Amino acid sequence: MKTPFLRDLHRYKTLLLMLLPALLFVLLFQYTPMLGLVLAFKEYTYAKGILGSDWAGIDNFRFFFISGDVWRVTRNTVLYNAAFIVINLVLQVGIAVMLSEIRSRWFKKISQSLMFLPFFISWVVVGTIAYNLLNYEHGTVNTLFGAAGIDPVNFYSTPGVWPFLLVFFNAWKAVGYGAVFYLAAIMSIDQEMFEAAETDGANAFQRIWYITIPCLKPTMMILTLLAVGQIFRGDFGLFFNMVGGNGLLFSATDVIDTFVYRSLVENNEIGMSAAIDFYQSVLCFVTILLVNGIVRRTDKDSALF
Amino acid sequence: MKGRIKLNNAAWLSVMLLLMLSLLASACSDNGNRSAIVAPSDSGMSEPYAGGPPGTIDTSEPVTLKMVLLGPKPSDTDEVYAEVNKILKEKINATIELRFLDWNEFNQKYPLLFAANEDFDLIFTGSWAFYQPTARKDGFLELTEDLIKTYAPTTWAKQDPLGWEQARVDGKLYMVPHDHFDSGYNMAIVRGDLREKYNLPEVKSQADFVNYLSTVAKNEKGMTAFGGPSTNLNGLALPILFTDLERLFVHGGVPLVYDMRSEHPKLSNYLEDPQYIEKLNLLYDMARQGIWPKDAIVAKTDWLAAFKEGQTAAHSGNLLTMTGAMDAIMLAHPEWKPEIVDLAPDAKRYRFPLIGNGIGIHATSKHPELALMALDLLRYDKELFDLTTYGIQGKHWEPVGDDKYRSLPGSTGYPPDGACPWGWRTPELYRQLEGPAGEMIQSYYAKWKADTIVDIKLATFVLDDTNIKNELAALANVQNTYLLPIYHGLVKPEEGIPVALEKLKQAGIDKVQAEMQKQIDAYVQNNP
Repeated sequence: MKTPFLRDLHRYKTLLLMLLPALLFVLLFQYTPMLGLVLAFKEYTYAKGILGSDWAGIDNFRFFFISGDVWRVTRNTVLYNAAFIVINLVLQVGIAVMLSEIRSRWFKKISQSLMFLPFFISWVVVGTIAYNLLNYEHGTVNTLFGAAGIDPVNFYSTPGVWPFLLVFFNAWKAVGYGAVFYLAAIMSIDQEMFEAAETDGANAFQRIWYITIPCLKPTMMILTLLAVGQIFRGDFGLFFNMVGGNGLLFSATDVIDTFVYRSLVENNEIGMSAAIDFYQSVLCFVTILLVNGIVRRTDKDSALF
Repeated sequence: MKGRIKLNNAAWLSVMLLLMLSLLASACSDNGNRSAIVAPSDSGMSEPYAGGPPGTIDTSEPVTLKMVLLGPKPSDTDEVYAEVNKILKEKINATIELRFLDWNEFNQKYPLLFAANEDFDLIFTGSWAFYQPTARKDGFLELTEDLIKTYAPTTWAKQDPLGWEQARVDGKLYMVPHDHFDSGYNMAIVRGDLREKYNLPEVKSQADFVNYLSTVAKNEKGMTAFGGPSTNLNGLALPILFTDLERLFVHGGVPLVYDMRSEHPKLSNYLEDPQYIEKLNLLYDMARQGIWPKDAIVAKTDWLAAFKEGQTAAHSGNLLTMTGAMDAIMLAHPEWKPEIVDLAPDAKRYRFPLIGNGIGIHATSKHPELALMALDLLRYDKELFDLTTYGIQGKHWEPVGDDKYRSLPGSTGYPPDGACPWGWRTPELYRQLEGPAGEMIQSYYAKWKADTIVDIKLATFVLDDTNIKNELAALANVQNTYLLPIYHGLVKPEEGIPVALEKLKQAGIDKVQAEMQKQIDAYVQNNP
């Protein structure tokens, strides 16, 4: 009588009910707001609301393209995110593996907590810390340089050093948090495999290389794919608080989000900001489809969908 | 056990569903309300609000009016407004509930209050505080002549008509502007003790000022001479050095200026003007001499506070801020001998438009008539005006005669003019600070009113940016990217200006200039 679907529904009802809150959350906060994308094509007014406002065609996109910096900011956004993804991945996995090999409980706890801590510091504070470290007259770094007889470096007018600085601060903040995921994944690896390897005479490096890393691969894949899905979105907090309004550095530090902020902060055009969000969303969507497609071809089990 | 889990799941589910439904429902009803109330004003009818017949508003039900103000909330605000509400309750059976938007959240949250249609009745606004953009997006209730005459009759009778003219956006009124003379921008304050230490003459001109700063920069190690230009560019990044050129902007996001004395203003790009280039070269020199920190462009320092603490040797800004700093220093460090100076005493100054401060009424306010009545009282009831502007008499301030006041030590809990009463400032009730600072304000105002103030031709001109929104956004970006570093002396003007000009051209400055000039020409023709 019952169709397989209804039967499954009945059989897994507890599990499905547990899934429901998450599903509703996604529906409410991810899918419903998507309707707001129409704003990108509207001339928004408060009184007429989202649906009632007049259509503006693609006029909201124009400001982004006439300034001639689209390529630069898009490129910067992608390259920075790519660097963040790769470097954070390597550091996070490395640290998780090292922590898992440490036997001393208290050392492990303390170092993990210390690395986790920067995650809780807001970018506003990090920006101020960076300024106090790097500024020309009284910065810690330049004072140390002075004491060591090295010429001070004017960081805030040298675009070339900023990719490194930004990657560094981003890693400093993100690595401890990300390492927790991998540490959890390592904990769930079957301990018998390690014991068997040890009996067969594998040393620590061989154990890591042949057991830990391959077992972490699915986690790495998923987290990386999720990050790639955001590759056209610059971390506004990071770039804005570290670089601020310093036009000298923009060639190396300007991302889509800071560019849009600078253009629109004075004129409060909701349609225009929605337009750029639309641009980013479409690019992200295409990228994730592409990358996921490639992953599915090579290793079906690791793909997201 | 199993049964309990099931029940919990079911409970969870129903809670989530309820939550979702209620959110959806509230979103729908919200939209419904909004369009129902605002629709009439959209169609441009002369009576946008269907209130009761004139003057017969029913005040038998007590009403709470919600008002949004800007800036940090002074600690004694609730105490002061408790007194305010006693009076309001008696007069119009209403009370005011305040909400403050602090400066760090103001830019983001102000538009959101309207976009989310939050529940409030009155809100501070001004030409620098989203007045035009919000009005254009129908965020404020349109104030018709009838509405104001009926519910704020004193305001209608006493307000300088110039204010109404300036407040019109596409011919309609959306705010009640304040009504107080204001023109104090571009003043400097320096330290008399340092000036005497190096035997420098009194600072009377820009050259003296620059000389003073470079002497300090050279000799006072460990002290920053000056905070430098601003960290984002809207208009000029260091206006005090440009006062003598007597030019004004139509829009701060574009480097187009016009002569403030002109009867038929013509816009020109200041980057092509030798006088401006000379100033930018001067700024480059000042930066070379280390007058401001090399990375001032990213500094997060509060330079006014730094000056008050003796970390810098000079500051610039508007007259009221400078006198405030002088007052504070005279109390804490009289030996610094602070001196307020006008670096271009012969230059003309323009009268600030009255729409710099004002109060708007939210388009979806449920009690707009009552809000106007309350505003009328705040503006012209002496007791209410004194309370909201200066605080509680005897605790925060005490009167000196009828038009002056003295601050009391308690005023830290409610600084004079500190809780954003600027939107209802009126000339008859506004008191002057007693003492040297107050006298200085008086004497400057008197001098300016006598022979410096010009009423500009474009005083009531409002730019319609419909056709150039995209260009304005792109230009604001170019300005901050390529022009601001020149102000800070990080790029040599002769190298930086051609690049900036090229980028501005690319972003459509010619189109913007043509459009602005067209609107100015039309305006001049209609207002001979």
